[in-house]
Amino acid sequence: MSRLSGLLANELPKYLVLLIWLGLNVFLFVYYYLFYDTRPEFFYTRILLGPALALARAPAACLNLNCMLVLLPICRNLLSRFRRACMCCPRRVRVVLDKNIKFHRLCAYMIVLMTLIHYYAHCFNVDFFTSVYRVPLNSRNTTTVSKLRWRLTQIGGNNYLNPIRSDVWSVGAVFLLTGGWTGVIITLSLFFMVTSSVELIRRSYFEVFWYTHHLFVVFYGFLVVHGISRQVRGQTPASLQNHNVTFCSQHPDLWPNPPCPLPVFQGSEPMTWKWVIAPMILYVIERIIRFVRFTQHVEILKVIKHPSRVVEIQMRKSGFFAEVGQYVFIMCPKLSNLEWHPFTLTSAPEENYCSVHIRIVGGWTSDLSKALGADGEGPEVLPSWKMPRIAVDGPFGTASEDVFTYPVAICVGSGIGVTPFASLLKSVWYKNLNPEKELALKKVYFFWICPEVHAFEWFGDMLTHLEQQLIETGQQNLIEYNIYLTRGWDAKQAKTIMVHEEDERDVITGLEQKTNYGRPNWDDIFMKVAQTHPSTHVGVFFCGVAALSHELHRMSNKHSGNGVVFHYNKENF
Amino acid sequence: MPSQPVKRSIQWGIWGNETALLGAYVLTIGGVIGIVGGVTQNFLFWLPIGIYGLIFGILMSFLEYPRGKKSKGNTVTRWHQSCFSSMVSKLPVVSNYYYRAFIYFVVCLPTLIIVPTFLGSACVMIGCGIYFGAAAHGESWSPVVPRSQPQRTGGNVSEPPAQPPPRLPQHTGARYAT
Repeated sequence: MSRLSGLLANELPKYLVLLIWLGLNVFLFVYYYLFYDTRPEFFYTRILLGPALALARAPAACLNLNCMLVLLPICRNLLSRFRRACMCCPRRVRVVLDKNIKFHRLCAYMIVLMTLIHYYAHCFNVDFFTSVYRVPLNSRNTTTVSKLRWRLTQIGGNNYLNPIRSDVWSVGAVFLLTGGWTGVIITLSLFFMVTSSVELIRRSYFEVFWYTHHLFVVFYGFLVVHGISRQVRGQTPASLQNHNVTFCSQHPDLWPNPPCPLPVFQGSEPMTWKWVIAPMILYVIERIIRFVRFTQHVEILKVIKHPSRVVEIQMRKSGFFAEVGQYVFIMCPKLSNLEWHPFTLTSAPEENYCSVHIRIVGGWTSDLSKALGADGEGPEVLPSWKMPRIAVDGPFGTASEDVFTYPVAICVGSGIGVTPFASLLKSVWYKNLNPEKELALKKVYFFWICPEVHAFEWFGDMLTHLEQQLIETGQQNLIEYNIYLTRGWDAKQAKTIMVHEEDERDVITGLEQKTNYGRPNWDDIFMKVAQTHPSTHVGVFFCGVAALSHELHRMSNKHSGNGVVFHYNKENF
Repeated sequence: MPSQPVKRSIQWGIWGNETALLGAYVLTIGGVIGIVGGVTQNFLFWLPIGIYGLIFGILMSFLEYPRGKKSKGNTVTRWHQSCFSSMVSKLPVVSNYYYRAFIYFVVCLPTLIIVPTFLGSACVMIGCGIYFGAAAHGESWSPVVPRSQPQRTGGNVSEPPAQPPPRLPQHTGARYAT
């Protein structure tokens, strides 16, 4: 029972969406299978192709649906708009929006599966179509069915049933048909996209993934023309009137004399473009928004060098407003016109600039620091009039916007995942300064789990600053922060820790709150929070590694109950 | 901490492996479909090429299953790949990507003549192309050796912490001086 409320809060919306999506897929598959398997206008088509007709058409309908859906979750600007417009709808709905990439992948898996079924069914169709020519009507081959097939393939002009009109090899026939060669191109571009999206490639060689994924242009381009030559053909309603299929199919010798005039066939209307045109337009709008963002002027106010090769860029852009924990994509035309890199904003919405902290670790970031003149030894950087132009796309919403809707929040950042919480913690403080508006958020438990504080000195500095401000205003209880250092310490450090055990401030971070060593005991922490705040909705916000995310997710479900509900939210990069 | 950031270079062989493996799977399914069509419908060449595609699809999947070692960092291995890896590494010429690309290409040529195996062999041929590029960049395949216990000599970080932290116990409720 205690688990149920946690499950309802954290799992239900997600599984509901999944169920609706799966249901739609199953419905389309079954509906179109039965459609092509039972309708009388496809009676003669089935004589030629058998069940392969329905088996090819059913996945085609699912492909239409999934090719439509797969584009939607990657329109990040539109999602962000939608999320903002949806601020009044329940947060459970909005949490589902954070699973956008997962949904994109799910649709892609379905596309792959349906493509395979579609392709292998069409293998049969092509060979059925071509082999009718290779089985000549001779004295030995005079069954009713083979006579009927022969008759059907002889229908010429515009009323034909068999789109292959000559004796060709089946592989050659694939390239003669519009549906064939476009299908080969679509499938191969899909194959390229799939192989480069494997996690190993994405994580190790992102450029390969990023560039090959743009084959989606080819994919959609040829998808629209795939059905244009109407190769799936059925009997016209008029022809069904004067040509009784049940009688005439038994008497192929009577053709083309009454009562069995030659049947007339027409191609089904191409459907795919109707499905995909709307999301394609949305995606084009999305790209236009990105392009407009690219042309907008961004003013670099200040570049600050922090220890451990971290560079902070403070900038301003007219009309730019970000909520807490949002991220932006940054592009520097001087380095590359194609590479947009995501960075979490570290400034609070209340501040009059926006800032990002960039750690110099890879090729692009080190080039950027050079372009900013921040690669020298000293603290000086290029004067502001010499600064390179940068473009900012965003901001894009993530779950931490919702933090202010909960009375109690547990924020957990691991490693680099602390960055979204910089703006969050600052904003909590700013919002609390305003006496007119009482904040729903009364308590923040902040956990920073880190192998080493090294490289995050800037965050420690920020915390120190925040700590001072909190003490000045007498709000020490608003934010409780805990720092966990998980990796080992050297002998020298151990000695210092021992010596300074009784000091007021922590030796490593310089903060009043002492650093913990080892991993946090989540069971204990969640239990204590549940005891201290009975009957409250507690927001759990996490950003960081997947293993810890799963654990916190589990904990949120496990400790919900007796009025306390832990809502799990995850930031994704 | 490396003092200088390292410029990443793409190891094409890793991508070639993913491509060839997935292509080999598609080829294997194509082989099965070819056999089914050849038996039930008596389509021309479907049965022999289907059997051929199935056999070579499985063989290629076996050869491609173990991931090669990445030149930098840890290699995430496939599920239970170590025994495949040790078997494959005993075979001749597997480490040379030129041979791999050439042999796969030649093996795939006959499967281009029927439609069910056509896609699979086209996919494997794309993999051959990437392997060829990898070979041209001077890459070669080497098995992932199971990692031995990390030996960290040098550096002054003692790990893992063998002693309890120099702290009062965490959950005694004792508060520190404020």
